[in-house]
Amino acid sequence: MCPNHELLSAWLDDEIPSPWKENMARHIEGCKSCEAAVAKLMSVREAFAADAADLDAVSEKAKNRTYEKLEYRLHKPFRSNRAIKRLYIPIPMAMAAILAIAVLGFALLASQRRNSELRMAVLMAQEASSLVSSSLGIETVIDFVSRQSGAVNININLPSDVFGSARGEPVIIKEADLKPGSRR
Amino acid sequence: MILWPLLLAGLLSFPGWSQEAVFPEPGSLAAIPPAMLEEALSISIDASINIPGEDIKWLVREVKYTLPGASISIKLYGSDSAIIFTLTPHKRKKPDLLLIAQGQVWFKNKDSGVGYRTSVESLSINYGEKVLFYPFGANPPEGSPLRVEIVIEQYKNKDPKNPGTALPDQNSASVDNGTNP
Repeated sequence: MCPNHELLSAWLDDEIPSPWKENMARHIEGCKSCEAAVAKLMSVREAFAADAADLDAVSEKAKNRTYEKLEYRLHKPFRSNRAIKRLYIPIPMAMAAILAIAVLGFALLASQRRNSELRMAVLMAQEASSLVSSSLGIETVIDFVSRQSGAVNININLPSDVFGSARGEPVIIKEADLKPGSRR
Repeated sequence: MILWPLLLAGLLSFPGWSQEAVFPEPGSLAAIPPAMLEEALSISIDASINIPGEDIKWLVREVKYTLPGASISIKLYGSDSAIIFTLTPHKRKKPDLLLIAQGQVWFKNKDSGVGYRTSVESLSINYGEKVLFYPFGANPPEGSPLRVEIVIEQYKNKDPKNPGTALPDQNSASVDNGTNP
């Protein structure tokens, strides 16, 4: 008579005491149906073991994540009242800045208005005068004259290391006056 | 603290400030008052480095416009030297121009630190006549290859229909290292 699945499972788990354990082993070796049942039980047990290993790995990751969160919360910088106060300190400065912008804006608008009035006065004076005012363009003349103090600057970058030790006196000369034979 | 950048941005974006950016470049034809174009002078500047026995090694060509009596300065900067050449053309009847030319040359000496030399000349020249400036001498024993060539002409004598032939061509330099800003 073949043992049932529970007995076979118990034998597989080494839960059957001697001498019945050895008797069952001898029976399973000689019984094909019991051998197949044991093989099936072993495959099921291996599948469970693999799943358990996976579950262990997942639970290990979850555990690590939990520890990380706990660690972060434990070491998170504490927002003190001092930090909150620092947010409130610039408010008078902000008010002052807004006031300054407003005052400056009005001042600039006023100066612009004065400039436009001055330009209108210049235009009216040009129209009234008998000079060739329309073609003179006094504004461009004023611009040109205002830039005279700085002259016209041309900046040229020289290549490096071209002069060596040649350091003669600077010479300014007309090409026509350059002596023949001297290097140009 | 956060508001200071906003304050600056607000001030800079104010239309009153942005009007400054529309002025024409000094030395350009647009900077000459239209009514004075008849009097304008074109100044062609060729700064070149000649090594004896070799072709021109380096050349920068510029054309600027000014009025009689208004000076222009040519500044040349090198790794071991700085040169300022200032020209003030004045109109005359014969010859055409009196040119006041001043040169200032700073250079690094191996032994004595910084050297400084100056030169000034008043030259009577005609339009189209070449004036040469040798910052390190015209013919020292070892030769100084740097040369600045100036040609002054009347703008009104240029051919307005074909300015490419009459005006000195800024792009025709045989060798130009493109260092001119």
